[in-house]
Amino acid sequence: VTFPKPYTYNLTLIQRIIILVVSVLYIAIQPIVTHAAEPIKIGILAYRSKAQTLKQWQPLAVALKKNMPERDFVIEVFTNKELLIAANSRQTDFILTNPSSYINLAQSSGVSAPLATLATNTNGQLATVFGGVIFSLASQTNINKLTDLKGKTIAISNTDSLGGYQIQAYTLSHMGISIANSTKRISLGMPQDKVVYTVLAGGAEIGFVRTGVLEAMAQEGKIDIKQLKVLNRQSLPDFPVQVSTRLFPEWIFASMPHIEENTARHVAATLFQLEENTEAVNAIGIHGFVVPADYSQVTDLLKELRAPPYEHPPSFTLHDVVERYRGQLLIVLLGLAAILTLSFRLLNTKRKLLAEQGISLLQKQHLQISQASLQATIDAIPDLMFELGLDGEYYSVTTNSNNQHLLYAPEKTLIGLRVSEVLPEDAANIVLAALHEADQTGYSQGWQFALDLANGKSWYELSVAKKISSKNQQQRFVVLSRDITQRKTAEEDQRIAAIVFESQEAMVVADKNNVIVRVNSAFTHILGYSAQEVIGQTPRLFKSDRQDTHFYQNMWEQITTHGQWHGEIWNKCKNNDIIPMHAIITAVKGADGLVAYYVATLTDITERKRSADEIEHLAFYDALTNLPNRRMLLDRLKLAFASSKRNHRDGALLFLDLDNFKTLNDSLGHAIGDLLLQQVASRLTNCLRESDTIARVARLGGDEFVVMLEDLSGDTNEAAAQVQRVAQKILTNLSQPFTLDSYQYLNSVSIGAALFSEHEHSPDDLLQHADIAMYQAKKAGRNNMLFFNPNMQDAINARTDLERELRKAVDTQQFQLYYQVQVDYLGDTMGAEALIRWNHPERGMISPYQFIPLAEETGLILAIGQWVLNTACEQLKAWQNNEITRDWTISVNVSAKQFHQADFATTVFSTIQRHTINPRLLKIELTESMLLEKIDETIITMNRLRSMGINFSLDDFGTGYSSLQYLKRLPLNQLKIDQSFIRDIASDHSDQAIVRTIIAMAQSLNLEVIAEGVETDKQLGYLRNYGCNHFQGYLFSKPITIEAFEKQYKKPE
Amino acid sequence: MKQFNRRQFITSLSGLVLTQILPSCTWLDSKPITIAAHNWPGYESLFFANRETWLDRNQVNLVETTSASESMQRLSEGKVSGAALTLDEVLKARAHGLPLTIVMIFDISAGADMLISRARFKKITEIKGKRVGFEKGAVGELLLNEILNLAELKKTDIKPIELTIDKHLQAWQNNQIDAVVTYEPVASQLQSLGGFKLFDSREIPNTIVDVLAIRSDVLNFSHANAIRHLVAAHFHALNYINKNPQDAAYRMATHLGLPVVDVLPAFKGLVLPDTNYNHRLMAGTSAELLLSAKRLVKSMLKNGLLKKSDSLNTLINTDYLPRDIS
Repeated sequence: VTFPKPYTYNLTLIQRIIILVVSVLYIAIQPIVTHAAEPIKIGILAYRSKAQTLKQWQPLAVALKKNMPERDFVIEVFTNKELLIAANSRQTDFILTNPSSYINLAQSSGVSAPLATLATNTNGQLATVFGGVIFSLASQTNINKLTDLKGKTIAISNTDSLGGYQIQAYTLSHMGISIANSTKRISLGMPQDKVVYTVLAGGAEIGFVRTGVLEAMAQEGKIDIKQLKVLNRQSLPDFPVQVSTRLFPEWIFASMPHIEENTARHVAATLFQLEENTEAVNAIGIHGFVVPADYSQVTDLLKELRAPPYEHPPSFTLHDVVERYRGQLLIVLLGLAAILTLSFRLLNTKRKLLAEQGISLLQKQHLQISQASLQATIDAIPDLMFELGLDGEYYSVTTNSNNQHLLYAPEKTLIGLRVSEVLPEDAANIVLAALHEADQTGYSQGWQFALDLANGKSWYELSVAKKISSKNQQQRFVVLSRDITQRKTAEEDQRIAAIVFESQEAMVVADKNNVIVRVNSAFTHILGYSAQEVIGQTPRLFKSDRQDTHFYQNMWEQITTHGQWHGEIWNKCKNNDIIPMHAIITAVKGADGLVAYYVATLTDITERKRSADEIEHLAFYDALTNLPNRRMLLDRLKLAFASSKRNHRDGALLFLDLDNFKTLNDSLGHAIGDLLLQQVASRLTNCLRESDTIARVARLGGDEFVVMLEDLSGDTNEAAAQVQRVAQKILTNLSQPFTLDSYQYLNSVSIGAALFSEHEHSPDDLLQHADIAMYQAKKAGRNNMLFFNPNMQDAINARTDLERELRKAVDTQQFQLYYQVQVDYLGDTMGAEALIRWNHPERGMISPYQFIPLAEETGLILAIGQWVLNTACEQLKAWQNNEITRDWTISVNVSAKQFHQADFATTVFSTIQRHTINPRLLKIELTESMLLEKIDETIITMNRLRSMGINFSLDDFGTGYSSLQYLKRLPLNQLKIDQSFIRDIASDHSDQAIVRTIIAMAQSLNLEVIAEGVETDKQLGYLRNYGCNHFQGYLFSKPITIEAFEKQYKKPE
Repeated sequence: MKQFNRRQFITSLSGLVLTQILPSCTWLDSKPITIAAHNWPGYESLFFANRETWLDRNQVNLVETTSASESMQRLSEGKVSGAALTLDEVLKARAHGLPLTIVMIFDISAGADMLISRARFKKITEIKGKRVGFEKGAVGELLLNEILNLAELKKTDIKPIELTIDKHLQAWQNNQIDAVVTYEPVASQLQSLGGFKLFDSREIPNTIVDVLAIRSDVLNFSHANAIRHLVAAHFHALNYINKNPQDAAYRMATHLGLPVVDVLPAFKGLVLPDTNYNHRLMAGTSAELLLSAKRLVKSMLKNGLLKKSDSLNTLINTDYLPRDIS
């Protein structure tokens, strides 16, 4: 076997002429050739050895002959160059070659468009594409990535081999690696096996072959594939062999132009049916042929690589450049202009700075000289002495041992700094102001500032003189800083005293003889006397007659012995008003230890006294009606108990509650409601005043009044009769019409009565008994009176017990959620409805029917409802990560009270967020009655929740008074047909009609329908037939614990 | 030699331009975006571009969701700036107060969604009274409504049965449905089991459209680069898929979860419009997409799929498409 030389395109002129002559001759004799039924020649490019290729493809000729027995077929194998000559000279009729070779032929020989694309078969896997393989020895540890190829030697077959070179070069060039510039190539020619042997023998570090070569050689036992590693290996699980690059369409079968159409069609048809000829395809080792692929991408590749036939780069002119890069050119020019301008300015600035630096050096020298000349003078001065520039820069500091401690910072550190860098901002500003003043006027004195030094605050006063300087020199100032701390402290004390004296409180200063020497303006304001009117008088001028002489004696005694008195004193104003004041009188002693002055501070406490009285009233009386309040009632009740015990007389409490007061308040407003309460209060007071018993009326708040009766008969029956009479009187009186503003209003009242004799109960108990009786009276039809009886208490107690246990249940989590499965049309689990159970530690399971109403009344439903929501969300979260359970929904029931809470939507939202669950899986079940309550608010809340993604189901549908009108407005997702319609659906025609109607309505509103309480297959059949898609009921499962639920449903189908 | 000099000139020129322009423009203003899409052949271009690193992860963060509903959920939570959705889904989101704008069309269903029936009906009206499976809240529901509109039937005239796509085959085999609105590959499976195609999405052209929708508040200067980059990456991938479909098929097979021979057939019935076609469908006041949206709003309102009307203001924005090159 001989290997052809690597193909190059440098055909000599002679070769070109030969090709031309042969072609012309061929065309001239063509008619004779075709008519002589010559064998049809199929030229195939050799990518392994020629002998191997010929042997491989021989069965194709056999297969073609079988289909077209009238013709003979010959397989001819060529190198790339030979194929080109054979095609150009029309010595071959069909060609089978790689895409880049085909594109070259198409350019020069007018070969047809591809007839078919080769489909290869590797271990039973079909492929119509191939790619390039880049490999090295597996033991090469320093070559792992494509970038490692730089500087390495690469073995290739030919540069015009698509799979053996061009695809690899294209891949590398896309990664910015130029094969030509950064690697060394060795071209070994065909077959590509040589590349593999060369790399194995160490002749090159890298090898390029087309896909499948390595695997084929391994299968033929020629190499051990484990010794090689493929670089940039693509992860394409479906592709049968290792590949380093993108994939391109496989080899092409094409016909030459001289082949008549009919023959070409026949051959093509044979190729397409080849895969059915198992014998042939197995022998060739291919899958067959498929319809031709799009080869334009190969053309793009060759163009990009400048590989034949596109080796000549397109030419372009300067004009093209300007056209293409017009925008960028403009920007570059602008950029260059900007850079030039900036550079020029930079040079200028540098020059200026250098000049300034020179000047300042000179100045510094001058300053040092003048400083020396002044040193002697300065040493004599006691104050701190500085020489400063106008900007506050320290040029010199002069101190002596007496004043050194007054320096704010060590002397040495100051020079060169500015005051603004040394002193606090305020102080520095004052120094600068003094400097500026001196600069303007030549001299400055009197600027003061304080500094916090180690031994306390020090005050300074500045004297500044401007130094005469030459024109070029910077202006300097001699600054003397005097310590004026002592003077300042005295001034400050005085100022503070003056401020204190002019305070909000009246102040009087009298001398040792008690003659007034000074008063402040607050004094004038409060007592009305001007300073002139009182100075020279004694404080007796303000004396009222509210205190006796004993009071004043005591006061003076205190002042004399303790130096001070304070207390309340009534003073007379100029206008003769007498006002209460709080006074502090202090005796101030002089240096001699004797009293020099008396100072009195007086505070007007009129307001304070008044509010104290009011508070007392408020504490015991009701502000609206002026009746005694609960507190006063209880006080009086205690007294009444005591008196009852003493006199052996009975008493009674009547608890009154106005009927329908809330409705009045809601419809006519609180102002009208208040009017009624005031009128009721006055009627009660009036009618009881006329009665023959001792009666006291109190208001507990709201529309609740209490009447306390005392001194009733000692005989209980008689006492009851007395109470009955009083109550009747009240009922009659209060049922007369009221005139409230412009309204006529008819009122009624319910009364509960409780008797007391000889202190049997506490006041609170008694009040509660009367309250319970009132409640019963209300239940019994309003506008009447009932006496308290002990059975009432038992019922209340039982309820209270349940309530207490319910509270405990909330705290100790005695609740449990049971889940009832919901299924779809096929009976598959969609999710569940969560149902609450109370597992009482002693009483066992308590039905929700027993405790939910109580929970609603007491407001405990809010905590319970939140617990349910939370637990359901927790469950959804737990289901989220499991393939089977992650789409399951949970429906939770929400009570009216919970739903109508203002923050319900927010609470639900934060619960969902906390558990990070998909809100679509949470379904809130609402009942018709609760929707109707506040329809507009309801819709707002529902819409808010809906926009978060939460779904709604309308529970017990069909049992309420739903109107289509509002159903349409609600953002519902599901209707739940109530189980009462399902129970008899198999026998009851009206139930059937109702269910059908509900389903039709739901469909027209685009709502899902679920039937609950499905118990038999028969019911299920009816429901399915009517178009119901979702079901729940004992037929599928009763409500069960979560453990049981998961055990039953959480398993793969 | 002269040519060589010119080339050198260009190289140095472009180098200069880049160093001058790039640092001053790109990092100053551009902000990245996050986009949600679920696994569907029409959206595969994005995942493909992401895998091939044509999509710059510093500019665009692509999040894979399990379904369109999850994408919508993330949009409404503000976790993503945009998503790949169908036109009706975009309209639904807008009705719920989520302002979305369409900046690109991925694909148009032209036959991919269809109604398969057990019996060979002559007219579509013959589905009256039959059990018809469909996927609620998805394209299937939309198609069913359109079919009913065309047949002048009401939903109550048939027995609609809600079935998710994974149940279609099972329900068919168990004889629990007479017809089903479905799509590939289930559609082909049912046809091979003897089902007849009664209707497909070609009969309601430009109605089932997969689009790239961006939250309107993100359509601003600082996100423009990222959005343009995303759109460009899609078209780059699309171009690659068109030019080298076989190689692309190998590279998409794993993500689509299909054997490689089924990858290209999965695009059957899908029109994947290129840049020019995108412009044609989206530009102008009488753009086909806008007309489709109008028609869709009307029909969805009628069927209760939409609760309020949509002015369609700012529904479409073509500023982010590559320039029309026709």
